[in-house]
Amino acid sequence: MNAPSRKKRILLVDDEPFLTSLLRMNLEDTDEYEVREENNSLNALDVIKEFVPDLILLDVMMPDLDGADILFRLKNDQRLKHIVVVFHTATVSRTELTSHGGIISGYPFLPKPASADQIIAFIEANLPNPLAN
Amino acid sequence: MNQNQATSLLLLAPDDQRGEYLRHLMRAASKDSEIISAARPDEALRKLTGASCSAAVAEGSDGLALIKAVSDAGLDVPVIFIAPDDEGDLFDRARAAGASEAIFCSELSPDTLQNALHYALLYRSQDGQTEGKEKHAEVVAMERTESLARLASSIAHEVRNPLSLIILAADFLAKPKPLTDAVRANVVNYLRHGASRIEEVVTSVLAACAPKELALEAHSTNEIIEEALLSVQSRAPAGIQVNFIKDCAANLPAVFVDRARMVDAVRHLLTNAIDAMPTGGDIGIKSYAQIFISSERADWQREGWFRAGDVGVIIEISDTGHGIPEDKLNHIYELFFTTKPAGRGVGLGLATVKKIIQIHNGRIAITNRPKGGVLAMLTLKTAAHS
Repeated sequence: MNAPSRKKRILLVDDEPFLTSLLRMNLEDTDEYEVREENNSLNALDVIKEFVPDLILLDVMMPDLDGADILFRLKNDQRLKHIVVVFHTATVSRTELTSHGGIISGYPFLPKPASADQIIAFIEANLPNPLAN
Repeated sequence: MNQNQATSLLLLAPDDQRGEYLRHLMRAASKDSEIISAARPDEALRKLTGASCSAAVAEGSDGLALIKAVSDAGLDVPVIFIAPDDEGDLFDRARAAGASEAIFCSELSPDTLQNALHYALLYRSQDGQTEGKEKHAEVVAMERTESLARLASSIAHEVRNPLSLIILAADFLAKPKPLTDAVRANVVNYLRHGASRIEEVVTSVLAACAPKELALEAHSTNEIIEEALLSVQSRAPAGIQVNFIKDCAANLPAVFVDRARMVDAVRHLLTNAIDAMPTGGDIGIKSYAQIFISSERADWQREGWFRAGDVGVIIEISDTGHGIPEDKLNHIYELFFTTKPAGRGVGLGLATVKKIIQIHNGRIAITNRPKGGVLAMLTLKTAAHS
């Protein structure tokens, strides 16, 4: 018999608390995810270490540390660099992104605004494959 | 234009180290030119008329006086204006008065000066007149396009975030499930917040770009401050302590203003002060009357903005925040320029404040305080002297 699979851990890092709150509500509604929100980018790395998410949905423009800063620090940490990072941002448009195949500098981007279904599909498409090593 | 053509350039500057520095820059920027110096605007005008100079470089309030004199005399001589970094208003007035180019001191270099002289001379040159005009039109069109692109991008960014709230709130409500009153109220609050943020962006854009007619009446400065204060009470994030320390003089003379617009200007300054202190701090709000005497603010007097004995009312708003980086001070009045994080502003606040103060014929000055934080100072004429 298969062991019950645990919920996938998603960390939302965005300086807009209302937005992360609504994202969390929509994600938790599916009963598929364990979600954590972080609105202070300076705390993001500590939360990542403690929560160890499967995927981070990261905003780009934030005060103190922006999304690129957090990504850089994450990828330079041996214990954390395997964590999947995807960007959710208002700084690029859907048209701009389409011309880059949804990927900028090697990282998947989802432009704001996006519907709950689009965000869930985006997360699912980028979550690490559980069968992969 | 023939680049090798020898030209005479006039420099209006004091005969001191500053003048010598500017002369040095002009020599570096235009190696083949003869530099003719003048220490006063009237002397500069005389020399421009007599020596058939191709262009002039002038600084500060004397420079503004020369631009006006050149324009009044109908001389076809481009004047390149150099503005002190903290005199954004002087910069704008020089351009409005017909300066060929205006450059802030901090941006002044042989390269910037050479560029300005190049276009000034190109514009003036008989052979290059058509080319110069076309080039100028091209530059203006390019600046307009860039400015529009920046506008569109900033608005898009500021609208997409609250749009996300609306879409995600609607998605959450659309799925059939029992909801408690508290959860429903919460989601509706998110919807309203998103909608009001979009409304705020649209209103700010309109206020900065399309001023309506002014409804000028005599008003109390302190009532304007109170109304603005009321509108920003809930701006600071929950748990952040912002103290408003008021020092408003009683019995101030009335100011002749459009009340709603002046409240808006003060509200923007208070909002900026709050946003500049993400971990809390003190906001000082001061109002007082000042009798102008002829020896102070020589530039304002020269402009004829006040006469000795006129009374002005001054509003000061200060914060204990992080201040404005020195290299950003020159840009704070530009549309869509912001030092705030995403979601806290589109960069329309100070552009709007400046526009409001300008159309009231007031004066605005924004500086970093020596002890940290920013001091914004609005000077308004009283109803009796407007």
